[in-house]
Amino acid sequence: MWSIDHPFVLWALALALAPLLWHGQRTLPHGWLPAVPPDPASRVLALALRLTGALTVVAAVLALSGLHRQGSAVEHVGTGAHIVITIDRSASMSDGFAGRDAKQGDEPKGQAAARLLEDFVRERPRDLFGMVAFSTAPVHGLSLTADQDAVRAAVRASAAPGVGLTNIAAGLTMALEQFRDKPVTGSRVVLLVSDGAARIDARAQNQIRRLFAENRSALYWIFLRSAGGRGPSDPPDPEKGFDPAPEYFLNEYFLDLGVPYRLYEADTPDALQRAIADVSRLQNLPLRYLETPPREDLGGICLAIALAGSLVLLLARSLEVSAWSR
Amino acid sequence: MNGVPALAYQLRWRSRAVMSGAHRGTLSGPGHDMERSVPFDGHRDARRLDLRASLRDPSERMWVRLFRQQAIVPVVVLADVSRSMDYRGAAHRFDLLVTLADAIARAAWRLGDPFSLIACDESPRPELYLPPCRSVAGARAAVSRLRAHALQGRSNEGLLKAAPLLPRRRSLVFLVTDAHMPLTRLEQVLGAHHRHDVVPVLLGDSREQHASARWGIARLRDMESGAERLLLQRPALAHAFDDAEQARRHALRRSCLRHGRPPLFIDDAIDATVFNRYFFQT
Repeated sequence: MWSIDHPFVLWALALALAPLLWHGQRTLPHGWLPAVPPDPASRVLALALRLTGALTVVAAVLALSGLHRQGSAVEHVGTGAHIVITIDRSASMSDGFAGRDAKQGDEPKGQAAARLLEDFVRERPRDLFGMVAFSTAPVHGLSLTADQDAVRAAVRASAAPGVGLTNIAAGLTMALEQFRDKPVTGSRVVLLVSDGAARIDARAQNQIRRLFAENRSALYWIFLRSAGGRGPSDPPDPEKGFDPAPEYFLNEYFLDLGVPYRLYEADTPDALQRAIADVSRLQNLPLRYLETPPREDLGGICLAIALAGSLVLLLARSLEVSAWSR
Repeated sequence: MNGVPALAYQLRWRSRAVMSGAHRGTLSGPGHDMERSVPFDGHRDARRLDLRASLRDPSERMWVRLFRQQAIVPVVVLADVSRSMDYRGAAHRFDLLVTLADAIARAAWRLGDPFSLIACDESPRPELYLPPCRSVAGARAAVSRLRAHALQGRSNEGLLKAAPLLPRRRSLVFLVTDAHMPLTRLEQVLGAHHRHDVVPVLLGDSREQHASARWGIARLRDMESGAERLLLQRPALAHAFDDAEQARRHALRRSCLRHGRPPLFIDDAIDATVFNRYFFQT
């Protein structure tokens, strides 16, 4: 797409007619032109000089008007997804994993998650990432963007020790809001990384269900098991008396959402890595997205043409003879 | 007299003019051109006794010689004063024309011939017209009027309309032009004055007819039509110019010869020797 910054300058294009109407050359009187032998080379030269003049004016005017080429948004097909990383930043994320070999001084879950997620982000340069952190209240990190540096920085920042509780409903709502009004050009994923769950009240459940249906987003829940904590796959045990088991019911709720859903339970960094690799594999679906190329300024080329034309005309001018046949 | 070349012309035909002059005439009278011998009885002029014929006569009659009278020949300069005559190259062409008219006027006066000047562009210019006139002053005034004339004509078609202004008797007509007209018109002009002895004097200019071999760009403007042409000067164009000029001169020569006389080319300057030799050779 060619476009122009200052269209009113184009009125000056009328000046390009001047070289076609007037030649501006010194004329030498001659008695009788019909006696002059026909010379095709001269005829071509006369036409070429006029056209060069017109071209020079046109090029200069176009350069002044700020001609540039705004490439139309190119549609790329990539393997990628729109991924909103929804990461839990509750206080418990600073604890270690719950694996068998867990011991004091292990890498906290939050840091391990951030490190592995950063690798995950780095390996997927074509994906768009969003970032939402949540504890008691959700924190908007990044809108969907292809800026890898920003995404990685946001992921790194999430490793800092958090505070507060785990309010999954608010985090999910904000994560799903990221997709609002964006074209669906590839698969959408909410990557929920948390180490616990909370009860979601009925109203929030309905809202989340509606948002998932509207945005057609998949949900991957990477559950980081705390030491001594229960997982979503553990059914509540009536033997133990009152057992709210929010993880279990949340899992049940997610299964009932009607969108692609997967649960990964990770109780070691290795398990987390496997889980992330699995997500990575699952989301290697073709993704269509539009990329807007930067504008290409054609003023330089126009000025070069104008300069070349002017030099040609200057040469022709200097070749003009002051008297015939001297 | 300084600067005006001394021209002379002589003719091979007899003038039918009554007035005596410097050229061979057709009328009998005092002169050097013997016509025939007649018996003394009819022409009792003992001064012109033809001894040879008288001695040869078996009947011993006396014979006298009869001579023809020398006669005048009107000289007309039929000048092209279209704008192309204003060309200034190696010489100012109009200057050349005025000088030539002046020189011919003086030559005519020396021989006692009446001189007439007719200048034409699109039509004959009445203010420049000089009817046949034997006075020096008249010729001189006409030449100075011509010299002061500002050239304006866009063509020389008036040469075709000049015939009524010429003397009725056969005259010597110098058609002075740069021949910047189509060949057909030149032939028409020559044909329009066929009863006269027309000497086509074609003024050329070496600078106009040649192109420089050095590279350059020149835009030529036709002095008459105003048309313009851009030319890229280069050796090839110089050759083309020379060829074209040669071809044009050849064509002019053929056209003029068809109407009686070869053209007299005068380039850049009037050379009296060339001019005078022309009348010996034709």
